[in-house]
Amino acid sequence: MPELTYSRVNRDILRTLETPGRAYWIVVALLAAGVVLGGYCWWTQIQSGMGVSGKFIPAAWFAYITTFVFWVGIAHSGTLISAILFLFCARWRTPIYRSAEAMTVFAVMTAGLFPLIHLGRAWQFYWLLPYPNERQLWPNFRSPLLWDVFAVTTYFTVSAMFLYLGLIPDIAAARDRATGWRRRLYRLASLGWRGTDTEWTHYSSAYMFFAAFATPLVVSVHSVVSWDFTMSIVPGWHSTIFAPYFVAGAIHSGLAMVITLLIPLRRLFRLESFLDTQHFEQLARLMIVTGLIVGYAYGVEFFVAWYSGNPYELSTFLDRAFGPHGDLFWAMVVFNCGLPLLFFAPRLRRNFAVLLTVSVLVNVGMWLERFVIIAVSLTNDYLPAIWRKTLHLTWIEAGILFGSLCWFLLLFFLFAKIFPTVSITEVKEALPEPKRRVAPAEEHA
Amino acid sequence: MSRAGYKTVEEAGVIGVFRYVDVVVEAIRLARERGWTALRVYQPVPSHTILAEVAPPEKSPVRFFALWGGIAGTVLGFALASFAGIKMHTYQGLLVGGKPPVSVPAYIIIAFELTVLLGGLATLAGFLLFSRLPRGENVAGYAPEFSEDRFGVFIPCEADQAEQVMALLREAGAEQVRFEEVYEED
Repeated sequence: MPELTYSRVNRDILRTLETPGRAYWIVVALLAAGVVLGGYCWWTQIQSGMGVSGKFIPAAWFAYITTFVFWVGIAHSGTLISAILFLFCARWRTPIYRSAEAMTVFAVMTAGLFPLIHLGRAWQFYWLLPYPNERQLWPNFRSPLLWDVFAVTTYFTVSAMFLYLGLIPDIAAARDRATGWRRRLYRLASLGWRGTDTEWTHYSSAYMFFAAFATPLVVSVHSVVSWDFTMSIVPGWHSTIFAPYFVAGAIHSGLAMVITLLIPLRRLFRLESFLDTQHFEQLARLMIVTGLIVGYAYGVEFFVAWYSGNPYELSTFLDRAFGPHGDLFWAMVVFNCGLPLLFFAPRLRRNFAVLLTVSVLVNVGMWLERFVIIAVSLTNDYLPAIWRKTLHLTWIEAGILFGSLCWFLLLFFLFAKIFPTVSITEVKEALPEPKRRVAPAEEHA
Repeated sequence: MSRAGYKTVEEAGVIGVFRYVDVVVEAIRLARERGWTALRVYQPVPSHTILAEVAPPEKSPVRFFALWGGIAGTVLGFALASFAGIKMHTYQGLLVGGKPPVSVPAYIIIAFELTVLLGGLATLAGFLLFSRLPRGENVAGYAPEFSEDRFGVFIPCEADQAEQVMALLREAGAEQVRFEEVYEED
């Protein structure tokens, strides 16, 4: 980015916060309507009972838990980009990481809704929390479901703090130019940040520790989510490969969502000078890696089912590929493992239309993956009476799923107009420091 | 320090505005040579060249908050899960899943998550504490250009020393210099 200067970085990034045009408000209104639709479906389910959700015993974990795992997975690449690539000093992450980090927080907020929706009596969710009560009843800390409560709550809290910490200097930069309600908001949110040497010293230290905490956390969260399944004895779930398989799948879907969000964002907010082809190429390369890992995991699952000699395990896997939901299985394989291989061709990974199409399809594929693992395994367990039953989403489930997508996108769109989606501080840090006397080596460079 | 008996001066000093990092470093060295050791630098980005020059040599104490927050989380995680297991066994007579009341392998997960949670919360608290945030608008010498593309060197001094300090900063290459006072808020 040789043409960028400190003041141009401020100007170009803060310009994205200016009063939005009509197109923005139309998109926001449509997304809000989608959220209202989702809310109506949830309300209908609360009034009518869980029967309208289409779930049945033993397939009680159906669309909602599938969607919960999907959204938790989406969150993961945000932390990969913001924390893990930070520790590896990967400079190319700089203009991308803020959007990815915001995506993490909003995806976890969306995911957090689904256990509540799935509970039925959502207002009694606090029974999962370890609080003193008059009957001396405590939750079971040996249960993966409680591990999940702790893992997802911690992930949300730490990701939100990490996002906010990185935002503080940028909010201060926005405060210094804003007027009206924005100035009042930024004054409050920047906490009086002035960019003194003391502040930067402690900020840099705190940022590094947050990255160090978030790195094992991201691995643990989806591992814990995978143990929700692994700790049971359902064929197709009881597998030691699940933790790394879920983590790789989560990052795969998250990378696809980052690309899906960044391509329109780049165009809408005219961020071409910050987000160039090179950044998308790097994301596409990462998707090749995660797609290959996911493909390997799919293969190993089948191999282990055959090699174990366990007829129930083998039956479940044959049902996945050739049973009533076989078309979903093969769509999942093509979308998640086949399509990312297109990115081996440099021409294709530099083409925004191809990138966007593949990313959207990978997201679809990753939702299907969770559906195949969760719902299809449950309909092929030890009760032959339910074998070969075909599952369908009811309109309530489809409405809630669509509403959750709108909710996620609405949060992201509102965030993008209130806070900088590209880090002013880190983009400036990537530029050469302004010096009056240029060193001879730099002069020749 | 008081001003006409109305307000008390909280902080006073001279601010010099600079464009280049190497000139800021020279200004810091010159100020220290002349005995002005207590100074503050405003920066739009964390310039490591400037921080190495101005910051104390020891590392940020935020690291101790991260460490002790993490340790507290580990202890709390094991203690909470063990307490709940023992309580359920003692009062309800329940051994869930036939597992012992204190099931260490299962509790490692709770302990790990709380290590990260409390470590993160303590790190944020340490950052806010040592950076003295949140604070009000009362900061002498600050200007909006310091969040854009300029660096500021602030040297606290009395009003009668201002001319001397301003001359020093001009000599060091400051683009602008000015004397500022901030008053205690009522």
